[in-house]
Amino acid sequence: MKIIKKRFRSTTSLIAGLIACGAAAVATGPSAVDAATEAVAQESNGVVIRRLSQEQYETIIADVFGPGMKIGGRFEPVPREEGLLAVGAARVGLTTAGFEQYDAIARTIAAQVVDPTHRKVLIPCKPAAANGPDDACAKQFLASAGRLLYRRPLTDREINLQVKAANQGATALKDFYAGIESSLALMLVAPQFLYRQERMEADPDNAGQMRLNGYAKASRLSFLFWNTAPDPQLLSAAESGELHTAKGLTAQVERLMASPRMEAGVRAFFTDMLGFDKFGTLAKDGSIYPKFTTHVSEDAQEQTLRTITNLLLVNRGDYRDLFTTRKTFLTPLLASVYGVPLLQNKPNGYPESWHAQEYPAGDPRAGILTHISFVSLHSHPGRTSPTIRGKAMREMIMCQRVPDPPGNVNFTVVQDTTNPLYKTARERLTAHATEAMCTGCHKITDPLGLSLENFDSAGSYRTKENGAALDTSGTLNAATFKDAAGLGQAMHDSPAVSQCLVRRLSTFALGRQTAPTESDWVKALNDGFAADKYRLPDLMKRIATSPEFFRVKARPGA
Amino acid sequence: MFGRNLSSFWAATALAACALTSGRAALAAETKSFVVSWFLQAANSYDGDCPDGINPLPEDMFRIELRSIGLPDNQIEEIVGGVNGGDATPEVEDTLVNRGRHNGKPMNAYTYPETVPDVGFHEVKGKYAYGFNLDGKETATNYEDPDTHEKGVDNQYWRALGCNINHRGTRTERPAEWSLHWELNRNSMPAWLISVTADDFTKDGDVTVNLYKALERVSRDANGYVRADSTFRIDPDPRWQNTLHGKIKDGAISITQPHEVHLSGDPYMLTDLDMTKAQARLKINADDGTIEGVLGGYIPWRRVLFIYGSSGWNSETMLGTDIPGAYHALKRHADAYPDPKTGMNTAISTAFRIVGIPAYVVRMDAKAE
Amino acid sequence: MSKVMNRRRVLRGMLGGAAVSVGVPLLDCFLNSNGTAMAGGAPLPLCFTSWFQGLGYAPGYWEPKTVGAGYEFGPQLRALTPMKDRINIFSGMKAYLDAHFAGAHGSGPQCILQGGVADNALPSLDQIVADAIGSKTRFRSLEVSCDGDQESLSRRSASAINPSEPSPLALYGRIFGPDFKDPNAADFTPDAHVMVRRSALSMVKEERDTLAGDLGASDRVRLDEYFTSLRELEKRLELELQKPEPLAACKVPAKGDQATPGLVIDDARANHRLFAGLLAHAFACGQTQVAAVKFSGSLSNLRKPGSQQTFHMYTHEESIDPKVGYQVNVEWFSNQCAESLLEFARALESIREGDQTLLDRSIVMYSTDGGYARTHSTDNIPMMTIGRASGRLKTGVHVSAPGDTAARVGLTVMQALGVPIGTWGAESNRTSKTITEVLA
Repeated sequence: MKIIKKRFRSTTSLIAGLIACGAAAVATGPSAVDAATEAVAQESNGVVIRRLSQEQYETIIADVFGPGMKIGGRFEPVPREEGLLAVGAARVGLTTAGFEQYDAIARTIAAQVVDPTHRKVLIPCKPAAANGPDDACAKQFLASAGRLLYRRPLTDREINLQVKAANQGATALKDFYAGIESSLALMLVAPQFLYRQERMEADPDNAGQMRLNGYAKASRLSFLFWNTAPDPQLLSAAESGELHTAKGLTAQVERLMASPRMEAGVRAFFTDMLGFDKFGTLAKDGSIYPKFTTHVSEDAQEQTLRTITNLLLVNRGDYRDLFTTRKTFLTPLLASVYGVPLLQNKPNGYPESWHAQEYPAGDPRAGILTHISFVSLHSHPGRTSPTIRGKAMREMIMCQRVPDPPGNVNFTVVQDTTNPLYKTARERLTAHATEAMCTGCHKITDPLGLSLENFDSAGSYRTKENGAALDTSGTLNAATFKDAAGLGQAMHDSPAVSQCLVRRLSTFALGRQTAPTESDWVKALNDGFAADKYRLPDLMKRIATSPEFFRVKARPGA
Repeated sequence: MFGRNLSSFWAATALAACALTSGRAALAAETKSFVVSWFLQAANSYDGDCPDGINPLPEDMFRIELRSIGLPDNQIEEIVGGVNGGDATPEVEDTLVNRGRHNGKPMNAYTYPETVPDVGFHEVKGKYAYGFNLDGKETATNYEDPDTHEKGVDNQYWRALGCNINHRGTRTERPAEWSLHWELNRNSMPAWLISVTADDFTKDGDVTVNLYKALERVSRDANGYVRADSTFRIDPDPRWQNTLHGKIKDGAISITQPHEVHLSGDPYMLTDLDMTKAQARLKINADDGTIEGVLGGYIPWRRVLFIYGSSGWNSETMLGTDIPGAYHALKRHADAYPDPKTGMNTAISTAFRIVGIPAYVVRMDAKAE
Repeated sequence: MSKVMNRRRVLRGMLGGAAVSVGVPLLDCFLNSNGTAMAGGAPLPLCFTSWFQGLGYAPGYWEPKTVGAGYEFGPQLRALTPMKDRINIFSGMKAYLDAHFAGAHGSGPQCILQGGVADNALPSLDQIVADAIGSKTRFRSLEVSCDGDQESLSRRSASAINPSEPSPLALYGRIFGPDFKDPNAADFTPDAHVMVRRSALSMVKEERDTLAGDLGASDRVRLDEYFTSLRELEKRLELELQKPEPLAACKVPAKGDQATPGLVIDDARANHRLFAGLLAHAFACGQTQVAAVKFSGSLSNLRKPGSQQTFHMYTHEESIDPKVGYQVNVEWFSNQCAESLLEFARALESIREGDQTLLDRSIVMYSTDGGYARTHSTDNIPMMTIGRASGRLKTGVHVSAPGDTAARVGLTVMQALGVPIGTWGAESNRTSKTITEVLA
């Protein structure tokens, strides 16, 4: 009850800010789903078709054909929707250039699979003659590889097509393996592989209703927990009907959760939620931030993911503690950016490795929001931006929407870091936000972002800007704090933060925004998350074992 | 524990096995640590400092030397015409590498530079050069330091080679020969460290300067400079641990008690820095936290010669230091530590510019403290 | 009809004789529904030149002061201004040396051209490009050297280094000598592998209705996008199976005079002009799609006429002129190199192909050995591309990426040329970060 009350308060204060802002903005909560989302949700019958992400594609290929497969190529980017690429993946098509890349990648992989070294291991039979087709052997290989690639057994029609393609290729090129190569390359560009298609079947337990078939359920589970295609055991459970029983489903969920591969699933979710794809184009001005290199941005992402998996998986900790934890992992490179000593007790020239670190109590470097992965990603190339950081916290971590600035704003004051009148970002923003049209929005973002001003655009710790001492005090709703550690505590205590995680994770799992009709489920998940002391694996299990996770309905007129 | 201002937490948890670099200093003392980012001859070239001229480039040096060993002009021109900036035929290279003569037989000019007659390098005769008055005397071959105006400055290495074009430079324009030797090596050779300990850097008083060799090499930042705020371990080998005592006055640090300095280097630069009667003056830049200054003393002159001789043909043809010429100049100007048997000086006075950037420095052998 | 028969015959030949039965989809590959040969229209292929000079430019004197479009070259590259709208310039990038000894003039080229500074076995990017796009031409790649020796930066491995051709006359003989066949007169043989691919793709097409099954409206739209893209690829393969458009711009150039091979810069520039013309005609006549030009070695011993002092020696020995801030003689050499690079681009531009030029379907990638020859620095290496690669590169852009590995440029160029590569390089120079500012 207390939580609900708090949430109510947070929503009103946010809305108050937005009214002052004078722009249309949408807060979160079951009652505030925007019209567009609702339209999509209504059209959806629960079946979602997602394109494989690059990481999923690469993992599946490594799982099926071995980790030595070289996968070169450019994967077409996916738009971010509902705060997640996972939702974009369920809406994106494929351009001609993107298809050409898939085709090139497919041919590279197929050529490796049939090369003399790999064929011995990967192709389970020998052709009658190497210089021509052998439909039986081709079928044996293509059916078994196809089952793993398509995440279900191939239909007769599909296997016949693949065998025919292999036959034609082998005949034309006088080489059995060239035929296999051609057929496999075809399978690797097939929509059945590139897209996670979900099939429904009549639900025998509920006459007239539909349900996801076992294989579709297996894929939903496997991609959620492992970020890859179902393994043979899960496919067997799908085939046997085990996944349609509560007991069978729980057994498989527990098996997936017990595997070290679960880390891949958790990493995929947070990589998506925290927007790490944007690191691909992040640049810093080297004359201002000489320590910031590509390697820093790579290590920075890894630092945060290690912190997350260590807290949430290894220690089965409270999700909210991510915002206050003083435990993290550093490389010597990151340590030099943070300005902390880190000894790597290794021989000279040894590659930089990871070291567990714990900051002392009261240290401002607490929580993942002070990580380089957050403060540098949400900054300008040559200066910080409390506004961008605040917006990122609101949108990414709290699932609240902050409107974009209107088009006719004069940013000169904010951008000029050399103006002696306004030495700090706070002073510049104060001068900028005197205009009424700006004040409202900045009230939403800046009190959060200014608390991170101890971290410059590259993530280095500082106490002054242009010689002036930094005031890092801030507010979040009723909470006031004096620095980043206090901000982390306020985020920890904010119900919006844990609710947002539930919302993002359920959206990630479903590949779509939850519909208004699912609000009871979302509420149950929120209550359950709190009851589970905010343990992420428990939340994942709640999602995966709830009927709503698999619920579909017949398409009208289908 | 760390040279850089650190919280007690780090001492307690992260590096419990390590000990403070300045362990012997008083409890209240503060230590600031640095990794050496530049180390090169303290050049001070200016118009008129080489009144006899800048030394000729290698081809002309070859001509003089080949003439002095008795080759006819037409043959000399044929050989020198084939130098091609070092991209010579094996025959031309062989002839020039072996231009020494001993009992009429060709000798390798880098291994036996004494077998090539002295071309007579021009010497630096200007009034000013960086360094220190190492012997306490003021003589005709001494300089005046351009910054401190100390008289009687001993810097015969500068006198010997400062009129070579690739040695010329200033504090800001780094001399080519040294900067590229350093640039080539600082990525791969173990880093050199400076730790400065004082009770209070804002007041005049005693100061201790430690020079160490690290176990780690340096890393680079986005601009290619040495990366600041990295952590280095002190090599526990006592040979490479140097403690110098001095004073801090108006923020300027000077070593008042000359001492030996030994640092392990790299064969392509200085195999080892073995300096006696070392003095130094250093200043910490308040803006960026870097340290810069001059380190002077005597070093064995044959060690200096090895810098050039180790890359022989390339050093001569591509960098332009005539090695037999350098040999004769260094030997001629050597000014300390005469060999008891021959009476010839074995060491030469020098001054190096040293620049350091902030770093964390840890000592591994806690017991040693 | 005779054309059809001709193609049948070709096909039979390829399949090893009349006894082989040929499936309809295979025939369908290169016949339209009327059974007549399809019209041509295959786009002209992409061409790539890796253009190298030693000793680069002086830091602070080549970089544009502004990033993005509309930049102005720094003074040492001003010679390239007429080509500015076709040039991308990249500043701030470096070769990471990791713990390796800095090979004074070797580490930079290794990073830029091979993606890593330590491993000599890494193939150079011109060869990776040749593997991807050069297999159908008479020469997979052509390597030339303007300063008289056979040294080369082009390699497939540590032991398979492609020697450079130092003689323009000899190159003329190799390309346009007795073995030269007019590409427009030669027989055309469709590639059997392409036929097989085309045939296989056409099978998937038939699956559309099955796949559309119970999809909702928006997912049907996405499936249609997929099949549109598949159809586009099929069309491209169909084009590959047809005799290509005549290379209208192909002309056998006049056999030139031999220039003096050697290290005097005037000779090197004269050689370079001849090579530029020959390579342009070789591209135009479809003899190759990949070339590597070494204007000078990484440790350039080019010299002024009548002088023993080489470019390289000047970089180390010449004092910086305090009045201008750089080494004056070094700048003289740098300017000569920039003018030659401009001449190379002009040679490609001079070949007109309809309303485009050969340069428009090319990328010339400029590289050098470091960021500051005076100190052997491998930081802030000048990097450039010239040409639009048939629209795959946006041009006229300055990208500043301080601290990033120079291998990013190679990765970007390879992707623009269609090489299936997502990550390139070794150790700290390994990167998957393309320069999105220039990829169209």
